[in-house]
Amino acid sequence: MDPMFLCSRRNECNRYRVSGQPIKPKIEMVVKDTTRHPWEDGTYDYDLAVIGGGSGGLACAKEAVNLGAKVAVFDYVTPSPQGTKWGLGGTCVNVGCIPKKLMHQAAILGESIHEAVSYGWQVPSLESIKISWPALTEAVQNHIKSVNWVTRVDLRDKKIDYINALGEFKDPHTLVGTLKNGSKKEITAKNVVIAVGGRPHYPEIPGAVEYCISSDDIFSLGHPPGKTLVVGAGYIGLECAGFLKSLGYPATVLVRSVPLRGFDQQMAQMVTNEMEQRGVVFHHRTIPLSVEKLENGQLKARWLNTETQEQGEDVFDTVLMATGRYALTKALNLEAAGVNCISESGKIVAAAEQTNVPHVYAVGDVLEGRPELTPVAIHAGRLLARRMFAGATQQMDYENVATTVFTPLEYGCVGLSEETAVHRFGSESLEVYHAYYKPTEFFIPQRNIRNCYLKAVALRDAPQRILGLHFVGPVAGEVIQGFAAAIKCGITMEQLMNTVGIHPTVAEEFTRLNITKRSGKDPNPASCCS
Amino acid sequence: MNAIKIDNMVKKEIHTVNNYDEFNEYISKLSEKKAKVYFMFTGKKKENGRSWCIYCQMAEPIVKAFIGELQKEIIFVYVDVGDRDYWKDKACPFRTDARCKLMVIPTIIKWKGVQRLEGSQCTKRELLQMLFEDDD
Repeated sequence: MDPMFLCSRRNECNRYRVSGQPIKPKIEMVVKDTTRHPWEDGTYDYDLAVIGGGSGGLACAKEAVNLGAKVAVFDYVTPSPQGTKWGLGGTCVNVGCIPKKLMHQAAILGESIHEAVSYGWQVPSLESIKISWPALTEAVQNHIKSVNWVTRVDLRDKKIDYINALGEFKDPHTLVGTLKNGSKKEITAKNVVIAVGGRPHYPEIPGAVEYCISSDDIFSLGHPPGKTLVVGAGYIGLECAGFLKSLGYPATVLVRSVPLRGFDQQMAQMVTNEMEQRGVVFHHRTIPLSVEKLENGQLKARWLNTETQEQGEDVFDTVLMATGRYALTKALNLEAAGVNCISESGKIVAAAEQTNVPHVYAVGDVLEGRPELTPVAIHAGRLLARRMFAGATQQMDYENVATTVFTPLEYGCVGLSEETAVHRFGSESLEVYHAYYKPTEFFIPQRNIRNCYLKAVALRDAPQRILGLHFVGPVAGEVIQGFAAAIKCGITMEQLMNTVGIHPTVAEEFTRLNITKRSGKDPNPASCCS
Repeated sequence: MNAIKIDNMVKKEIHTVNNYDEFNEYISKLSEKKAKVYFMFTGKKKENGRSWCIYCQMAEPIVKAFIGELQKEIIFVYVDVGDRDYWKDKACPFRTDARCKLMVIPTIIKWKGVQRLEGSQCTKRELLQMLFEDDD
């Protein structure tokens, strides 16, 4: 049965009318619903209820309210297995992008102190320079708390009702929120946006949930992490291992398949090479087997190499699980709303952010097959609000979204990886321009330049439209953002080569690309003899 | 320091400090106090009894009325940040003091908290309400 018929106000659902024509309900298919819902007279408490006060949900709520809608937002954080909880604002602000970038910055600053000596700064007792973990986490957490506060002020100021409760469906238009004290709050809404995001996944091995932390915990960890095992080599695992090592904590990474799966693998190699050269230990093709707590409080982790079947083990102070994230759809009681477009991984399949129930939408990390990125969620949420409440028609374009991995040497990219481009177009139809480069500021402190590399993946035929740009080096995010706009505009290699660079910058290297992989020429800079 | 007013209903204290030195002195004596402390920073009053800062003028009666009605055990301190030239100086100690991180007046802060209202936010009762809510 088509669940949209569960909705007894389906004729009034604003998204129910496809292509302007109201769909005639097939009366014989309507489930006889004997209970009378308070919203059945066509009045709802809210025009929009958003479940999840993260980047996507809040952006959607704010835009909706700007367009005159009455809006409520449910937000609730279930504590992590280690008991960490946080405030309004979602993953990005509390346990994601923001604390990650701040700790990355802390790591860079520490390195800069050492580099400063090469530039003539007189730093007394360089060997005694070390991070105060409590001071770092306090600074980071204070920033987060002030963002939580500003977010709450913003919602209140915009007259959005913030309900600090775990929201779930009671019926297609009724949501029930469970507050911290267990009491319930029920509201009705004409439209519902699911923006519950995701949480870290724990592998099913002994000791994982009991003793291990995740990205939910690391940024507020009450004690220095010490020697740390990071399980997982996605961007979260690599970023955590990267800043921990730079902050002075030994880091080991278990890689199950390949690092940064889904990203360009040549670039991923550059990123992990740099980390290895900085002392991060990688165990490739390994899966964790168990984590046990020793009498001294340390954690003994065991793992298996899936190729050689050899087992390995070591003792750590902290084990951080970064083995993926799962969408928080289970707690939503989606059946009650008739939402059934759920993928195997528990995510919501919703082209145009609309579920199979026309007045129920989804944005952000909860969506299947969409980039799990804050700005993506924000943009999609905003556009959705305009379609819901302003008759707009613009759809979210999920193509060519730029992103950056904030590893010690950052990796920024936009568009297709070389692998994906080859898969889609065939290598004969592609031209890949690449170069190693030497950031000017690396010379004096003799920083490692071996992994400073960039490439452009373009169509081979003139004018060589660019499909993907990739950059490993300092401030990669700042470098890539502007080029992402160029890609959106359909920039070609001809146009890129005719762009005059800003000297001396690292971003100008894109304008200097001229060596193709096909030519077999040395992509190292001319003056380089390494 | 003057204008100490103690509300008999709930132990609400309202103080006024007139300059940065008094502010410092007030803070140095704060540590052992248990009640929640809030500071409202506004521009010095002119002869007509109104602040030189129009936004402070607008906020003050609203805040005053709100505090008057508030049934909570708090300490509320009005802080005079001085005349226009003193405040506009980028080196004004109220601006450089990392404890209050003042960028604009009026500003109300919860001492040792992240809660703060700035500018026109201080004129909104629903935001003032939030400022005095207990959850952190």
